[in-house]
Formats: sequence, C-alpha cells, structure tokens
Amino acid sequence: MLTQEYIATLRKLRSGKLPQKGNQLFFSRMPSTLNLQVERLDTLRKAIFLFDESRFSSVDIYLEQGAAMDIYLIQTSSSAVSLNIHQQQDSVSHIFLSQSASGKTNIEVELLGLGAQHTCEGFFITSGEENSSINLAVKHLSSDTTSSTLIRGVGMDHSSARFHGLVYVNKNTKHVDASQLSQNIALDDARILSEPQLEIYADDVKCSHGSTVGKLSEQALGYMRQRGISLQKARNMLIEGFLKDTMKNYSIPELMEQNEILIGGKLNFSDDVQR
Amino acid sequence: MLLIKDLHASVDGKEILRGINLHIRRGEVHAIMGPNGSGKSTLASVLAGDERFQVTSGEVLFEGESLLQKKIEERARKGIFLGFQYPVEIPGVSNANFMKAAVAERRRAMGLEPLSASEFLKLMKQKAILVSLDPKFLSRAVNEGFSGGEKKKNEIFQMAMLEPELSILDETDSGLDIDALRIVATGVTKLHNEQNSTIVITHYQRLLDYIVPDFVHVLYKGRIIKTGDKELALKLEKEGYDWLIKDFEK
Repeated sequence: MLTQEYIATLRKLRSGKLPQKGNQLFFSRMPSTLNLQVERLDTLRKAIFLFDESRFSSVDIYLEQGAAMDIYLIQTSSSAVSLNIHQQQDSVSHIFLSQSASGKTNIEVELLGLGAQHTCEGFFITSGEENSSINLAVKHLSSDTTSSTLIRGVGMDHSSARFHGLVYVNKNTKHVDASQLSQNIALDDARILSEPQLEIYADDVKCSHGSTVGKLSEQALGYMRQRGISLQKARNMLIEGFLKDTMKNYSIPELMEQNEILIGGKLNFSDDVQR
Repeated sequence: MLLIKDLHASVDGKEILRGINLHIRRGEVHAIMGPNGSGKSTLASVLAGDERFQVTSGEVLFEGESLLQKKIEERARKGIFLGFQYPVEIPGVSNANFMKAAVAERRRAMGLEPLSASEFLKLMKQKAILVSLDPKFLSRAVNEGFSGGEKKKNEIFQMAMLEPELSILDETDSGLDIDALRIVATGVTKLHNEQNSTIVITHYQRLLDYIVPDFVHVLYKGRIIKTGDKELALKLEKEGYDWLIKDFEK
C-alpha cells in the first residue's frame, strides 16, 4: 500500500540518514517502555517516534522547569501507543501526530507546573477496513496553563475512526486557557466518531471546543472539475489540503514531505479500491 | 464553434430554459442580458455541465461534437471555461497547485507535452502580469480571503492559463468597483482573439464599454426574445427591459 518512495524514506529514517542534528532524537523499533527527561531550561529538543511495527509501546516524557520539546508521533502500522507527558513550570510541549493505519494512540498531558503550555496538532487518515482510535487527555493541574489542540481526520472506504478528547481543569486553578478542535471528513462508507469532553472544576477558565464531521464541499469539487480536474483528483487535492493545514508548524520540514507522500499513497490505494 | 438548438433545462422539476437557440462562431463576442431570474446563469451552468440541472430536450454542439453527454471536466478540457459569478474558496489548495493540475489536464487533452516545473512557473508569472494579478496570490489558497475584485481577477488569471476556446463569463462585473471592473475587463479583452469566442453574461452595459460584443441577446423567461448589436445594450441601459417584455407578452 505504501509507495516505494515512502518505504525508502522510512529506511532512511531508521538508519539515521535523515538530517541529524545534535538536538534531534530519533526512535524506531520502539521498546515497550521508554522514559525521556528534558532538563531544566533545555528548549531545543526534538523527538521523532516512528511506530511502524505492530506492538505496544509506552513513552513517558518529563519536561523540567522551562524545558521545551517538539514531539513527532508517526504511526504507520497497527501499533498501540501510550504517550504521557509530565510538564513542570513554564515548560512547553508541542505534539505533531500523524496516524495513517489502524492503531490506538493514547496521549495524556499533565500540566503540573504554573504556566506550562501544550499544543497538539495532528491528523489521522484511514482507508480500506482500517480502524483507528485516538484518545487525548489534557489535564490542567496548575494555574496559568494553556493548551490548544487541532486534530483533523479523514475516513475513506469502509474504515472507522474515533477521536476522544478530554480537557480537564482542576479545582483552585486560575487563568487556564484551553481550546480543542476536532474536524473530520467522512467519505464513502467510512464512520468517524468525534467525542470532545470537558471537565472543568474551576471558574477562572477560558475554554473552547468544537467538533465536526462532514463531507467534502460539493461546490469546491464542482469548481475544480470546471477547470478540467477529475472528480477523483479534486477529491484527493481537497483531502491533502485539509490535512496539510495540521503540518504548517513542523520544525522538521522533511517529516512534512514524508507525511504528504504517505497521504498520497493512502489516497491512491483508496482510488484503486474504488475502481 | 457553439450551436445551441432548442435547449430546455430544468432544476428540481422546474423548467428554467425553454427553448434556447444560439449560434456562436469563432472569434465572436456575445453578450447575454436580461432581468433577474430569466435563466442567464442557468444557461452558463448547463453549458459548463453542472449536474444540478437536467437537460430535458434540445442539443448543444461544440466544435461539431455533441456536448450534453460529456462530464463537466471533459467539457473543460475541450476548452470550455466558466468564469464564476461567485468564485469558490478552496482551503488548503494553492492557486499554483490548482492551476498545475488544471493545465496538465488541458494540455493532455490537446495532445501537448506536459510543461516542466520552470516552464510552468514562467507561464504563471507571465499570465499573472497580463491580467494584473499580484503574484503573491499564486502561492495562496485558491480564493481564500481574497477580496471580491481579487477573486474575479483570479478567474481571469485561470482563463489566461487555460487558454479556452469558449469562455463563458457569468456576471464577472458583479460586485466590482469601477477600477476593478476596468482591470478585469481589460484582462478579458487582452485574452480575446480571432481563434476563441466569449459569452459575457451581464446586467450592466458598462462592462460592454470594454468588451465590445458582436451580438447582444436578451433572455427572458428562458428564451431569447431579442437579438441585436451593441446598440441594443445602450438602449436597454436607457430604457430598461419593459418595452421588450411588453412586446413579448403580447
């Protein structure tokens, strides 16, 4: 299903041939448990986790005071992943999630220290008979903490997907700012279930959430076809555009290119099934 | 180039076009005018192949070939271009990528080799300048956040890229201020030549000051009730449609 080009790059990734910088950590063939600690005021770390084998992995990341990390989760196989992030005061985490196979991802972010910040941007795309699920829980346990989530999903063929997002705000916290957005497109006979959930036990909280499951715009498809683009190609371009929006903040551009190839491969595969 | 014979079309069982006859030759500009709801935009949509409309009878020949069985994208590749009254926003798809896909299809249909990346870039810049579109819009998502004038300029830019045989401009002047109108109309005029034809659908004579029509048709209740030259548009501007409609209803 995956294109040759993509497989070749995965090999490159594994063998560490992707531009390696001192601050960039790359993990594949994941062990069942992994603990990472980012020291105080260390703000340059980037971690790439590649889940391309069917197994269970649990990752714990500890961000000490003022530490920052970009965390890339790339899931291309039916793996089960549990990622727990523990954030101390003024630490910053940014998760980039890409899930393109059956699989389970559970992410729990604990904003333990004052002023801790978390952002999660990601996408999932399912085709054929795949079944994927993403659970994301963000726990605001301290004051002045912020979080922002954007997850976009596309389901094709007979696949099914589920997104469950929880924003939890502890009592006695102040000035918490949390937003969560889940936007999805269900095509063909695909099913997407999006369940946002808020549990807020404090008053001084700014919190927004939104959840949609829709179709591709008929108007946009018609417009593209009037310029000579086939329905299939127009559909693929709209899906790629929709998902690409979740990658605009990537600090490792190579990974964005890889995701684009991966999405392209999924779309072509789905086209073949349709025909 | 285009021959329309007794064309009837309806939407949701309601007949909108009730027997249109029209012959457009290569190199000609035809203006279609008429009061609101007379079927102007429906005619444009039906010619382009919009599937929301059902053609109930009649025939349309384009370059001698029957058009009505062809899908919307097949007609586009043959060289039919519709300039939309309300251009659609396409989030996540850049103008450049959009045109790359469209131009590739058009060239393939014409039996031409695909353009190289650098040839394509050069073509885009050249056409953007021709229609006074700021090149910064090329990398932006199609029409997203564009002003009304920029959207219409972008339509003309796409027309320039695709070099259609027949352009149907559906109220390209609507929502434009005088300056934007001049720029858009000048762009259309630059693109017109002996080898292509243009249908201009408009409410106002002022667009026709720039794009001078060979024929002016008045559409009313789904039929062409009057055909004349550019003088007819001037008379309509002064006197409205009432005199024509009275004649027709008699």
